[in-house]
Amino acid sequence: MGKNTLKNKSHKSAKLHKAVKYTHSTVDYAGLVSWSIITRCSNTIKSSALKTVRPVVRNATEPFTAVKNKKWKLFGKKVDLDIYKKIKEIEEANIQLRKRLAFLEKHGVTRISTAAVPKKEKILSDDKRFVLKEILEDTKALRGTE
Amino acid sequence: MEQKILNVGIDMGTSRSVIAADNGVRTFVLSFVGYAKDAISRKMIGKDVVFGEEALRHRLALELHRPFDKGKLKYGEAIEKESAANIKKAKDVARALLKHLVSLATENEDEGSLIVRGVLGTPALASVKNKKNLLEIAEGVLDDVMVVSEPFAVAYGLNLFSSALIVDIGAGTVDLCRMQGTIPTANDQITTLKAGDHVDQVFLSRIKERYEEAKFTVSMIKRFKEENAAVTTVGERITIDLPVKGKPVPHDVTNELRLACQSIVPDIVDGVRKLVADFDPEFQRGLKRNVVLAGGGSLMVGLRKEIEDYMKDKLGYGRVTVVEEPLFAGANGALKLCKDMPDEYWDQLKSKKP
Repeated sequence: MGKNTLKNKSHKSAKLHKAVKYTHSTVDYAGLVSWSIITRCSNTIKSSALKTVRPVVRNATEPFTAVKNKKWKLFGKKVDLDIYKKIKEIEEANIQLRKRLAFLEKHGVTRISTAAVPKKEKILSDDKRFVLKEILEDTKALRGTE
Repeated sequence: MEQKILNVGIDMGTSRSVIAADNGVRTFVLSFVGYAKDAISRKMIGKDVVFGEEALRHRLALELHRPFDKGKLKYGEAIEKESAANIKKAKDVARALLKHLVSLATENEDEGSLIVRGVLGTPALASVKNKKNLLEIAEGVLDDVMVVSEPFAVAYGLNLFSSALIVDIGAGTVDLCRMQGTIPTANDQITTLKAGDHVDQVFLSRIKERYEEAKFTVSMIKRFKEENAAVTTVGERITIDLPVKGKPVPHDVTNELRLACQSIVPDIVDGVRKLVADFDPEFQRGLKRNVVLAGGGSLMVGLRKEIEDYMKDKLGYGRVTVVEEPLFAGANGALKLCKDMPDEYWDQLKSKKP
């Protein structure tokens, strides 16, 4: 009797173990089938979905991209190396101009604002003024105004 | 809008008209004005009126006019003899030339806000009538205008107010002016008519005499003279290509050109002698020491030396210099005078405008 009981127990355990194995295989297979279905479906809609979404996203993010690019330019992270050369040239030209200006100022030429140029007073000697007056009178006489 | 004043000095000569402006423009045009003869010539030239070199180039298709003769407006002195139409035509031609000259000086200016003030040079002994004619011509072309004797303008430009004798050699006249610290009067000035045009005539007649078979015109001779004029006997032989039976043949004209150029010297020295002779004896040497040549005629090679030699012979001593820019000397002096003229003087002139 005792033997029968033991034999019966071991038989039940083997059946359970088998059932568990079948269940595991079924779930595994179901998972694979689901994954396969999902992958196939997504592959089918992927290209058409990208075609629709990509331009929308690009246009929607355009302002941000522009700001980002400007920012890089302003802070000089994407600046071409040639620009440093050009800046240096301008600086050198500026130094030369300053030297030239200093030379001109030293030799009596002064810098004045063109907006506030005072009306030049004609400084004439008495002799010249007399001569010019004579020419004026001559012209007036010719015009028959006197 | 703020108004800008442009000062100009103008020397309207028989051969060339010169302008100098205080915006830096300094130029000249040959004193020729050409009007298209008909519709075909108008189409060919592309305009109704042409000036200077261009007018000479198209002269066959144009009615060609030279507004001044012997330093004066053509017909200006002989109203009784000439028809009113001729006088009017001469004035119109001169006005067109002046307008063209002024336009050369103002082409880079904003004309809307521009006031053009000008001083015009006249021959030393120009008559009142001739000066009035010039003022009349300038009316409407220049906003304000004054006239002054050309040799005096040269002296003013060089700051030579005393002990100097200016000789302005033009195409129509040679003007001599004695500067003695005051405004020169009629007694201080002499005008002779043996000038550049006289040289052309003498040169032409001498070539005709020597090379009878050669064909040429006055303008050919004139151009050649302006490029080669020389009084000196040293230097290379001068030859000119003149057509003989249609073929250009080189002709030696060295002697003809030299003699033609020399032909004006005796009258100049005679004028100098007259002005020196009736000057204060104490200052005569100073005057003889400071004879200044100006005008296009003074560009003749060797003329300075020739006059000096003549003066040594006739007056015992003479020192002659040529101004730096003979062609522009009159216009430069007139410009300086125009710039120096006080504004209140210009205003006086304006207020008296009829």
